[in-house]
Amino acid sequence: MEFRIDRSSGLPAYLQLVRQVREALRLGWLGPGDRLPTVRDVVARSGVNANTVLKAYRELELSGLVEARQGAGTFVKAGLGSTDPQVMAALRARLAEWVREAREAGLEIEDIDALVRSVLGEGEGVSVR
Amino acid sequence: MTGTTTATAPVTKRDRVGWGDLAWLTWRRHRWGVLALTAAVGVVVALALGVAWRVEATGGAGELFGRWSYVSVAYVLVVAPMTIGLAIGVFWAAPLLSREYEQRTHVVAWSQDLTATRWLTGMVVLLGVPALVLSVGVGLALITLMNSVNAVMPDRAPFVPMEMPAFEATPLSQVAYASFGFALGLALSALTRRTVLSMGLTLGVFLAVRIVVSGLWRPYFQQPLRMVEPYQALGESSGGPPADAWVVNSGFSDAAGSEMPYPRQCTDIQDNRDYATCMVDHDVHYFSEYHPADRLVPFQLYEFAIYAVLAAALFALAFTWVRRARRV
Amino acid sequence: MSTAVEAGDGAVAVRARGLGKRYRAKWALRECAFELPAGRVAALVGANGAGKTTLMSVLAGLLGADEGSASAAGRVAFVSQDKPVYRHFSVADMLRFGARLNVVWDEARARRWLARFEIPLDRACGKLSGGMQAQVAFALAIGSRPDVLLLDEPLANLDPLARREVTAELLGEVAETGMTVLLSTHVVAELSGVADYLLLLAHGRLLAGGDLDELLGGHVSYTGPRSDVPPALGEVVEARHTATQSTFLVRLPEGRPRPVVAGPWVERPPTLEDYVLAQLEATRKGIRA
Repeated sequence: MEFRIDRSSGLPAYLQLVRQVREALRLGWLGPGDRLPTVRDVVARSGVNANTVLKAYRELELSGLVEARQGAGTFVKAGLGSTDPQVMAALRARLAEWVREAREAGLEIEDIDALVRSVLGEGEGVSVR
Repeated sequence: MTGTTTATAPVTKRDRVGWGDLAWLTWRRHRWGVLALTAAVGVVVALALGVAWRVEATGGAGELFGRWSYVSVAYVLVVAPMTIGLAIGVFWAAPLLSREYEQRTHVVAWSQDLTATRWLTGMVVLLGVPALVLSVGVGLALITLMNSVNAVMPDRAPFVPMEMPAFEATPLSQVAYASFGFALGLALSALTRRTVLSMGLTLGVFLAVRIVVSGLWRPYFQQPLRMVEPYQALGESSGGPPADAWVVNSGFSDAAGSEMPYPRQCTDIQDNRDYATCMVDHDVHYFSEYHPADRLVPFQLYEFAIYAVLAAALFALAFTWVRRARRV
Repeated sequence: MSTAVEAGDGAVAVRARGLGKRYRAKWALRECAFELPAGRVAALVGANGAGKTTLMSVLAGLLGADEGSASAAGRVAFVSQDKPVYRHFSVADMLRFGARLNVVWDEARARRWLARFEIPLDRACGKLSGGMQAQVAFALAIGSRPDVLLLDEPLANLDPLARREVTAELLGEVAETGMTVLLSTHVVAELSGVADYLLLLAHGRLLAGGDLDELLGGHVSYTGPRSDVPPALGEVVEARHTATQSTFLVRLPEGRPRPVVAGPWVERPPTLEDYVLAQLEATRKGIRA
């Protein structure tokens, strides 16, 4: 998989990597048994620090999503597709409907983003994770 | 993993950067300057030895071709021992640091596995030793030439050991001038950090010091001997200081030896005999101040000490300045 | 691979203690103290004239300190901002130079770097473009296999593509060799993901230093309606106000759970740029006061 770092995001680079792996798992691009790219490959292709990649992989390992096999690399241990695809699809459809409404009401993408964040922020202290 | 490919490539490891490495760098960096001066020295030495050989073979210093005689070639060549110290200072030492500073390459050199002091020591030794060899070589070749010319002109030897060209060509003097020139160029190089400026200053200061020490000071390293003779003796070959002495001053004096102005009364007398009589009548004597030939070695040691002290101070200044640099 | 990077865990690669350096009466560096852990890629950030180059030069051993001390564990390589090369040396000569003047020399690594950036070995360095000369300087530093690599504004005078490639290659070398890197820059936007450690310098003094994620993680940016105080407890690093809106960069109190803010306030993690600019701005105000 290809990682990319959004340098304008305040999210720490290692968390961006973690999130990208989680997204890939969630969307089914990565599945159990798949090998994550080597640290050297990620470094060479996305221009991030090896320590950052290692930190991300360690984080994923701690959350039980991947496992490091001595000398072989880092492999996906578990998938992240716990939510029923039908439920996901329904949620997505309703969100799309909502976004359409918001656009019709004249909201820009940034406004929508701010609105979503503020709602997410009500529910939990840590909005970024 | 790509990392494994480099593991097979040999990585060289050593304890320290050696003299051979410094020699490589010195040569690579200064080869044209070294070659040019060496070639010039080679030409001078070849000419000097060639002329000396011809003079010895023919037994005379007069002939060559046209206006050029062997002795006149010798007079031109004796300039070489007097200028080689200057050339070393200007062309070898003055650019040594300043060129690095100007091109900022000192940052490269001194951030490898050697200190600035070690780099500088290497350069000074590896250029300084050849500089001394070249200087002494030129001096010895010219001494050979001067001896040959003197040998075929015994009645009036043109090169007196105590006097300017011969004095300067001796190995001791050559070592003194070369060391001083090198140290001066190096110190100015470190201080100015500008190549052209340090070369110009080296030229000026070297000449000034040489004129002051060798031209003005040397005659009075020791009190010269004084000889007062009656005016008539001037015309006789037996009079005056010995032929191998170095006359540093001479003129008219009274019988007591105190200097006196030229007697105006005799100025207008045309006839030589009347003129001489006039001079004698006015009690005109002739005095000479001179150093006898046996003062040669003490003088050379004295002058060597002066330049050696100057050179040591300048080397110390250059090394300290580099080590305690206030800016990069 | 990971072992190479983590080999230096706990060890200190570069240490400065009360470091001070002055040019005549003006202090370019003052009371600078930090310990850079081995194996890190540290960014030395500050405005122009903040003392970055001076600190680098002292660490590289090119300048003596006037106060305190600086030390680096192992061999240090330094690439200065102007990336000088010997103009009359060919690129191959520069490699010979590297091999001759270093006690450790990795010819293959240096050549690989040059090949990667298509630098001809037989060309005189003086005939190369500025960007190519920079690659020669990098190759020399990489080939000497330093334990600590000091890079002063490494990406200056490189084009955008080369900046990205050099960064990636450099990080690749770090990953393979486990060396510690300290790179100075004033372009903070390019550092995210590249550096994992930050040394922030202003007016010759160290404003902040530490693990980048920890530093940033300890701060939150709040945006909300015009207010004089932020919506949660913490030290305000920077406050900006418009007629209707206020933005606060807040350092969260240590050892307490992250505060929950509600209502009209939006919180987001600060970017490195937010953080650095806020810190620099704060010192500037402090100096004016």
